[in-house]
Amino acid sequence: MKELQPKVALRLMAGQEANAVATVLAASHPSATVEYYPAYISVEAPGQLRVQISQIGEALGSDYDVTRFLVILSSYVGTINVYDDSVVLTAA
Amino acid sequence: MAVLAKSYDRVKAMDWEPSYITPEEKFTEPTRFHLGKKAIDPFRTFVREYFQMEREKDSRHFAMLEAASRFQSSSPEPRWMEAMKFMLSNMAAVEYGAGRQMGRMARVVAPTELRQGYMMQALDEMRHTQLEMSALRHHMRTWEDPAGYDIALYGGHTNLGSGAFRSFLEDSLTCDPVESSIAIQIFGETADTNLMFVGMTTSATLGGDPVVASTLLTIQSDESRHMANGYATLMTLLNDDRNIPLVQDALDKWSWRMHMGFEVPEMLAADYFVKHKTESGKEMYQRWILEDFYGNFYRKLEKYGIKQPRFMDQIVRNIDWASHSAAVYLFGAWPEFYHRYDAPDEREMEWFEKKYPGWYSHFGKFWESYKRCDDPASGSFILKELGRLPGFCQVCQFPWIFPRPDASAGRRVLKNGKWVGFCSSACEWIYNREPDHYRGFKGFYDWCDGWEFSDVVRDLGYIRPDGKTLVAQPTLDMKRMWTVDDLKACDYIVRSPMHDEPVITGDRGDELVSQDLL
Repeated sequence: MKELQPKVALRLMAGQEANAVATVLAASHPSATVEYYPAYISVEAPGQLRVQISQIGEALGSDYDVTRFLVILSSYVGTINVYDDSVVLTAA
Repeated sequence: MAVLAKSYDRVKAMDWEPSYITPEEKFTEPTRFHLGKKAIDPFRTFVREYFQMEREKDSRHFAMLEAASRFQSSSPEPRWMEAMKFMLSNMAAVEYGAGRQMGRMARVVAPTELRQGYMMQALDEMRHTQLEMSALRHHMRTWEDPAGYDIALYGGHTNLGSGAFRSFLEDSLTCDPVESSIAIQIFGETADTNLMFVGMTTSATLGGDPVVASTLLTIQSDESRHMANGYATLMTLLNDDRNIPLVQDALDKWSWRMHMGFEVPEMLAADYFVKHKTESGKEMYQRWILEDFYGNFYRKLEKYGIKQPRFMDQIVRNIDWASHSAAVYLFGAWPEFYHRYDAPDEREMEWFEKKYPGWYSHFGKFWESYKRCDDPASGSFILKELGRLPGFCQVCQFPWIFPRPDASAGRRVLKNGKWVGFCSSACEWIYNREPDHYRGFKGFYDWCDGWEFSDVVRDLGYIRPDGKTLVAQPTLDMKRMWTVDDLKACDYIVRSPMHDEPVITGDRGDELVSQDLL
């Protein structure tokens, strides 16, 4: 098996919400890489990714909650934890 | 932050042991794994939020489907639209089987959190079957050739390739109920679905089929929770040292089982269902399965004493050629399916050679013959050109042509006086582990050995409403289509290679081995 740096990743259904999430994560996680595919957006980072739900709502200019975020979360890599106000992925 | 976790703990505490029934009566199917009472659901999903979320997903997706039925995009790619007849129909059958699986696990696996996750997953899988059926119906109504889409649900259970899907799915439905979680949630959903349900949405969009792109992504958004179900189950198991060898054994079996049953068909789809080629099936495999799954997810299990899967080397060897060998199977036996398919053109052949150096020397001849046999007036039938048919594996139901038809790992083994066929030493190991589990599988030759080929297609019923034209065609050109009479004129008789005298290539004392393959 190839030796790799442990990473975490989010794969989001392309759309306005995914664009907002990608923009917010790129700003809050300088080591994250965002890739735009025709139907989905991939955000990868070493170690950890934290989606702060209030920041996404602010970027969208509307109410936002964890349930709505989970609607566009197609897949992920890492260990996931869902809280009231955030969704956190860790590599460990 | 604490509110959700606290409420979730409170709801969990409402579980109780019934007094009117013994644990043995309650958990009808025993498991050999040791499961404690405590587990974790990292999604902390309540039923109320679950339905809110699923309703939102459905209203977004069905709004898209509704709009798509009014606004046809510019013409979709015919290769892709025909391949979806095969892909969506088989997927609908697999998802339904997974739903049955979850109901069974919710019944017999003890910890509350896991049961709740499985129950929601059972509903998800029914939703997925319906989403795929909706896409099939949409395509039946809008695509230029509805034949095949109209029989998709019947076809998903009867086509020659469906045996491979049913084989792994029914195995996962009848094995130890905790082992099923490793099969479906760890390999199926944490590793495999990503390649197709996320990776291949690019091909769907480029092929002008946003309906399938949206279908795949909204399905995969449920898989996010299913991965967490699998992870929660696995972590609960790994916290008890007695489970480590049992988990290793199940990982050894299912990494190979899902490789053949699911990953090989996915690579085939990525390489052959797509006209506007970008990433190859092998590249997608490396990215989604070797890197994301084995490199990130599986490697984390090492700290619990889990080793790499027993057949990992064979898996890695297989990915160079398996998609092309599977294509020889799918398109070589084309009348036993219900889609039209044209041979790769010059540009595609160059792409294959670039992505898989040596491709032409191994598979070029097959595709040249396939192309020559496209006109029924020629009287040539591709299977006749190929010569002898391969046998089928008693376990995975694939023919003995892997990793490559001219370098097959297949064999016949004389077990208790009866020859049994295997695609590989991996499937033979799986058979030996539980022979009774696989001995009774019926395959292609049990059904139609000795039949003339047009009778096989008549028996399947893959014939258009005119009563004579075949649903499947070896070309996308609809001007001169093959009929059952054209096929009959080729006079091709199905003959199992098991009738041929074995050439003994190995003697294990109590078992003889024959590798006289093609």
